[in-house]
Amino acid sequence: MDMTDNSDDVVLLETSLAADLGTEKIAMQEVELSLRQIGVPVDRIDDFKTMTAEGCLNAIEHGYGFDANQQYELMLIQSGRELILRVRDRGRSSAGPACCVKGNWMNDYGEPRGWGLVIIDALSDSWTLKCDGGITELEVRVEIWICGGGSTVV
Amino acid sequence: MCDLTVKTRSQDGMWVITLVGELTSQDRETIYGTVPWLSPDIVTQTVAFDMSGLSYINSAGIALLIRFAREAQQRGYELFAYGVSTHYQKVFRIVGLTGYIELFADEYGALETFRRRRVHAREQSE
Repeated sequence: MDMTDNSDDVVLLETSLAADLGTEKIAMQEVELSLRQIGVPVDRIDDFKTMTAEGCLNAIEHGYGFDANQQYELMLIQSGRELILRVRDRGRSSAGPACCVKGNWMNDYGEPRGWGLVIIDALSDSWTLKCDGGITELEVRVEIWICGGGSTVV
Repeated sequence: MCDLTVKTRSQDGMWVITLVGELTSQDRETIYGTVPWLSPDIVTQTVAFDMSGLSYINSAGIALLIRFAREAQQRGYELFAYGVSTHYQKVFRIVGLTGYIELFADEYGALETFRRRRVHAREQSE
């Protein structure tokens, strides 16, 4: 799996997980461990964990329809002061609706859905959802001040 | 597998729904089974979620809360929540839930507000 752009980028985490509900929690734990090791502040770790969960859930549900026999890919990269999260699946022909329009959900009558990308949009500096050649990739970028190496256990 | 446990009780006339564990889409029926407007035995117009025991809420769980808040407002109920972590308070603000669910640090704060408003309502009606 090659999802790096720059030879100076540091791959903090690279893994594949089954497209089964619940595996997003494994992804969250692994992302947390990686971010603690490089000194990311705790409040930003929580943001990243949530973005990770929502990115994974997008792949699990929309990419593979909860098919536990399929796998999605997750990569966390440090690129200078930027952290890049990439979630990739190969289960769909188009990226689908990119974002939920928040609108006035109080007056809507359907099941309120699509909040994952709304949350990612608010917590990140930028994100893209692209589908190319059967591969759908969600990329989330966050500029972050790293406190320095070592664990930050709170 | 449902990783959420739900308990309900009446606290001085405020209906408290305690959620422990993880709030995700798999808990739909568990949450909907607690709504006070479905039971004639529950006389209250205020519902408070105790979320101090929640460790994980995903977007599907957020959708459940939004649906609950929508129905509560349509029926004239006021909604409180306490024990929400700082991070999830932020997420609630992002999705607009804080416009419909009042957040408190703990049950004491929620109860005090509930009691104060009840006294005020009684005074207004006299």
